Amino acid sequence: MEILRVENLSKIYGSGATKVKAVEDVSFSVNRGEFVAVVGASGSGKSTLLHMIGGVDRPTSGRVLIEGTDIYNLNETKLAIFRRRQVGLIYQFYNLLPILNVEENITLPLLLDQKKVEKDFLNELLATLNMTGRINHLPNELSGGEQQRVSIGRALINRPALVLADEPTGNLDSKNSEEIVDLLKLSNRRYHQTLIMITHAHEIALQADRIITLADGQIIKDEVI
Amino acid sequence: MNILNQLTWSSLKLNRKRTIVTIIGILLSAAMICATVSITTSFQDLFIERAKETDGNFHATFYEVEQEKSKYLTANTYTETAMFSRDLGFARFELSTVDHRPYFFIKEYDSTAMGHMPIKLTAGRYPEKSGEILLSEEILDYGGEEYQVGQTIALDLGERSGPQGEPLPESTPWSEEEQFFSTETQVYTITGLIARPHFENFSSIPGFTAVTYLDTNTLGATEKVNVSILGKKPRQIYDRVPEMAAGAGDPDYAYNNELLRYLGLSENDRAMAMIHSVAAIVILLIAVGSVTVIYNAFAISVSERKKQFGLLASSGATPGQIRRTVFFEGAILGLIGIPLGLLAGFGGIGLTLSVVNRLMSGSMFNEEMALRLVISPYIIPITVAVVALIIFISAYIPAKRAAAISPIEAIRLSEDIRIRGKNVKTSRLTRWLFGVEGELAMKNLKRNRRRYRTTVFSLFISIVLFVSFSSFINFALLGGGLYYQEAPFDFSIMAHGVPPEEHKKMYEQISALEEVERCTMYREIVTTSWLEEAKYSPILLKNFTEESNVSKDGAGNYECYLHLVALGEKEFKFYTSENGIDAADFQDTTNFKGILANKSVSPEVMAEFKPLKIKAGEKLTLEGLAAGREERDIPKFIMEVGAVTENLPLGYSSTGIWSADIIVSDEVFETVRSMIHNEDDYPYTSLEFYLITSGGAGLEEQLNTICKSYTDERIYVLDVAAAQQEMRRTTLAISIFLYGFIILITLIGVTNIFNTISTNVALRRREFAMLKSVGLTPKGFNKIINYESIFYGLKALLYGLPVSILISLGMYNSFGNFFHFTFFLPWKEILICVAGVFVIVFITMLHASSRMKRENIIEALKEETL
Repeated sequence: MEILRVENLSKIYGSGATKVKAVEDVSFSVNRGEFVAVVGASGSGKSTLLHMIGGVDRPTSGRVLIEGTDIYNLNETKLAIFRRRQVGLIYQFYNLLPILNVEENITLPLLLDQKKVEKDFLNELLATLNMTGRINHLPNELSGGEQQRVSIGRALINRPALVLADEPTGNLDSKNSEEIVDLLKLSNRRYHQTLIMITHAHEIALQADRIITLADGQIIKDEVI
Repeated sequence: MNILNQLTWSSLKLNRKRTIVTIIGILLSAAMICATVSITTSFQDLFIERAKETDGNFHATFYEVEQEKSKYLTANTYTETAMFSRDLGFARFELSTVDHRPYFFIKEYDSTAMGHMPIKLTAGRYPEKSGEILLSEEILDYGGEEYQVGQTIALDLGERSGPQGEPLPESTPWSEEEQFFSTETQVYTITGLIARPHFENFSSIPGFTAVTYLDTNTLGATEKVNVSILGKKPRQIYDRVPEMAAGAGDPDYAYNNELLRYLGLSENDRAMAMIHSVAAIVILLIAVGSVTVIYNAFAISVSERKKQFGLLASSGATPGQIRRTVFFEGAILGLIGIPLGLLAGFGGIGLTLSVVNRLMSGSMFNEEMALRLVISPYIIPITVAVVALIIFISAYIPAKRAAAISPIEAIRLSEDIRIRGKNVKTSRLTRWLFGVEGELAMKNLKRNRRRYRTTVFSLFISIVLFVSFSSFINFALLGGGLYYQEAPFDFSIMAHGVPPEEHKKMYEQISALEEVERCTMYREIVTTSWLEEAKYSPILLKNFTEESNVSKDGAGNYECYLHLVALGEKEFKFYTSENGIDAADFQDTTNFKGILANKSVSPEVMAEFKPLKIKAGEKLTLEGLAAGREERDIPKFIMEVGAVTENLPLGYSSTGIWSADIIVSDEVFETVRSMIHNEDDYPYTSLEFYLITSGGAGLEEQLNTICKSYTDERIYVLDVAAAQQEMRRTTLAISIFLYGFIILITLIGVTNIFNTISTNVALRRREFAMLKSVGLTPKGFNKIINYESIFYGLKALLYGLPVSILISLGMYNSFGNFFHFTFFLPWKEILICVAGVFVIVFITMLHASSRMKRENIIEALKEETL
């Protein structure tokens, strides 16, 4: 069952001689529960594509449909609410709020939604993330791997249909990387979530169901493993 | 420019908005300091000009110096300008209508003295040769109507002597026993008129001033003259004058203290010292305000460039070099801000003074006495020095901090490292009350306490200055009696020394004037009565017991002052019919009857009340007060209260404080007066007129003429309407100064708030982007910004309002007995202040965040963490 459809998506920066086509006429679709790895050289347009799918960067042209909704037809407020409920974004540089502790950072999307936190689910998530003992710590008291786990927790707390990870292990050593990827795979299977992950590491990409390879803003290979 | 300064320069250009706001802060502070100094010098100039006009433009005078010895004084190296003068003495003024001033008093001035002595030409020209004379204008008013400019008059000069033939000094008042012997007759041509000089103090000198020309060439070697000088270095005057006197044969000498005191040179007078210390306090206030702004700007700039400084340090920049770049930044900002500030200051103060002068012209100061803008040569260096010091102080700590940054700390870069859990802890209540947005706002404020404190502090300073200054203005204006009550009449006349038998004639003459619509002839006799406690209102009793300013007799009765007041026949009829009373009931001159006007004003609660509990029909025993004649036995008499009313007759805006009036008919008044006053008392009987008129330009003049024909004593004809208008203008002018100051100091605060908040928001660009990426809606974003603004405002008000109320209270108390009103708060200004705080904070926040709202999330996220 299709959850995401990308149609003729393009992102162009600048104009005239300085025109840069970061993403050019990309189309593909992803089914529910799929784990997709996106690979490609630096500057091939991976991150831009991912951000456009996540609704944080507007495309120049083309459409992104998530569960049938054209997300760029929504106004700012509706788009924000859509992001909050349907999408979990994980960045290479964690992007946690320094003033909030682990628990607050993880539950932020719920708090913004004025939803009650389901204690059981939070505890389960914390246990999965191996962060149970650290809920009152502030980000600056955590290691890089721990911070990334918190940001994964934040991405998953709303049980989004779509988890987008932008090189989540790019900043971590191999042991931490392995843990993070295992965690993402676990949630992908346990919660039947769709996971799209950008990575540079070949061995991580090989763990996915499908690998999309980008070059110069276009898909050059789309293979099922 | 070396590389470090180049970096500073480019960072200033990069943060253009903050740079401009900081320059505005410096500009304002320079402008205000410059304006304060200018105002001080302008007022000093006004006082100096006034002293020159009243006491003359010279520093010291040597008296009775022999002409040959005077050369020592005039040629002295210390002497800048010298002038000669001499008192020629008295001459008979046959036409004088003033009994005790039957003379001219003739002074001789040389041509320099004409311009420097305190005489003011009102018509014609100064005398230029012997035989020419100036007359005081008053001479024409009191008998000398026939004198005209150009006319020739012969004066009998001579000597006054007492009953035993002894010569009388010039200041001796005239007495009937004195005699005048004329010694010579001189013919003079009148060349002009002068205003009544200040030295001709009112009635003691028995002559009107006339000034004639002193030809120094014709003086004999031993003839004595007075020599007045202006010294080259006024500061040395007290040392040089005694030396000069010693060299010139030890004449008496005197200083022109009035002038010297406003030049700031008087040895024991602190007038100028007070003005200067007020100016110093004001400058100090400005400095405190400015230091918070400028310090804040540098602190922000340094923390933003922290990484840069760390990198520089790691590549070998010494702490000294880094410190200097911060000072370099200060120097650049100062170089731009100070000159602009000086221009703005001079422009602003010049404009203010011209507005104020227009308002004040022809009022408190006469037209020649306008406040003019005096740009003293000291203003620029003083301003530059003070502002430079302010900048230096402000930059000092940030510079030290910048120099102390260790490379590794700067490159790892995180202020965030310092965050501790408990620092950003917020109560559950916050989330419950304001939601997660409110909680985020609160945590953000708590995160950077120092910056939060500076913002709150600058708001706090602005609040305190605004509110306490407003209180001060209110107190000062009310205390100074500048809030004139609306009087129901437009002219008032107070005449003394008119014999009682002429009162009626005078009244008729005034009433007959075409412009006069109504006219009260107000006369009163003060009587007292001993009344039992039950007759007094509680307010009055409270005052009696608390202030113990009333006599009490053995029977427990208090002494009540009752004024018997007559209004003139016509007004009495008007008053009775107005109150539905028959005037005919009050004409009986054997059984006195009067109307009790039972209304008084308490100065403490500023409210009207009924002072007495007396009903119509009661009889009061009154006793007259002997006016100035203590020894006489004064008969008591009975007065029946025929009616009680709370309406006051024309001529009152209120009755006396703590007393009540009994209005009687003219017949009763005359009878009582003849009963208790004797003939000698008549100068003490007050006579006042209150008029309602149709206006008209010449009215005041006509009234003056009528009054002068009845008495030569002082008469006050007051154009009430004009006086009120003048008061309003004066109040306005003073308010312009004071509120102008408040506005400027508030502006300094505003620049500070602007700088802090906008930087604060800008620094959190990335965080906001992150929040948006996890689904913060634009509305939520606004909510966070709004809550932060509210928290800033509330916190500042929480501290600012109580402190300013305390200061207001302190001010009220320190003025002590000076104010005759109870303490009140300037509620209107407090409301304006509260509204202002939120408006300023909201606008700033909105402005600072508007760009961020539209910003691309990814762009912001990519930005380096700060």
